[in-house]
Amino acid sequence: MTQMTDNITVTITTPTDREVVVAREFNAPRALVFDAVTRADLIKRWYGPGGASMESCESDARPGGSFRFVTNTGGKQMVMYGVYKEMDAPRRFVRSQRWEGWDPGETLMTVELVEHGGKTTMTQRFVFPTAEMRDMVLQAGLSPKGMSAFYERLDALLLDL
Amino acid sequence: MVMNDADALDATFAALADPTRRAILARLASGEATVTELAEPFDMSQPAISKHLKVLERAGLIAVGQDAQRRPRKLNAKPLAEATGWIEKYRQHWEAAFARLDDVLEELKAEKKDRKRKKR
Repeated sequence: MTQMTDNITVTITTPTDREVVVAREFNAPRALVFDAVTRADLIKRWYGPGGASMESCESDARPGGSFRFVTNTGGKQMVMYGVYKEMDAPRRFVRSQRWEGWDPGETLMTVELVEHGGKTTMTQRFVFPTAEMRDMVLQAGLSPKGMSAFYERLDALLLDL
Repeated sequence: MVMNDADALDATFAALADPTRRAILARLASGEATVTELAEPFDMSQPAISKHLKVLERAGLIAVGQDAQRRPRKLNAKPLAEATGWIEKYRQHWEAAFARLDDVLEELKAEKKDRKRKKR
């Protein structure tokens, strides 16, 4: 659809064993990107593993405001929720993330947006509660197929405990 | 089993985190080389290179070749492929999500232009 897609690559790095940094450039000004990643009506249009539709999406993008993303992949409902801890629109925000029904601890996501010549680089830094969780998330890829593998691994891990 | 896989991958990623070690792997991708040969282009002492080689060896990224006297190092590509494959699904997830985000942004830009036109 977009002719720029060829040059646009997602950069993924793992600075420590509990972190993942995902960066990507977008062909839009910063304010628009910020809206698209914080406003519920817009998040709904792109977020969700493997393009699965979101059952519901709430996002109160203010300091202390909460969010709740409900996705459904192949009948498996997933709820991610948390709180916006810092909000510096349209530059940066930090939010905590947890999953309902599974609680290995809180993941912190810091999003930074840098504009340059009408384009915006978005950097998402995830700090996971444990290295194990980071590894599981990296392995699962959060795709519908990956997600079920994710749960299988989780089950196996829980059996080992 | 899960943990062992993860440990191995951690070792691979830790080994790949260093630019000198990546350069050594790049050099070995074009054929085996001795420690002396590897030390040359890097302006580093042999003990320093040996340290890097040990990290790469522990991660299973390189192995010692047949020649017992020269002990050349050679690339072992399997863990590298596993490491990139490992992260590949995660990358695909974000690539797909961001492609959808691109579309949303294009629509937002179009809406904005529309609104401006109507105002005029």
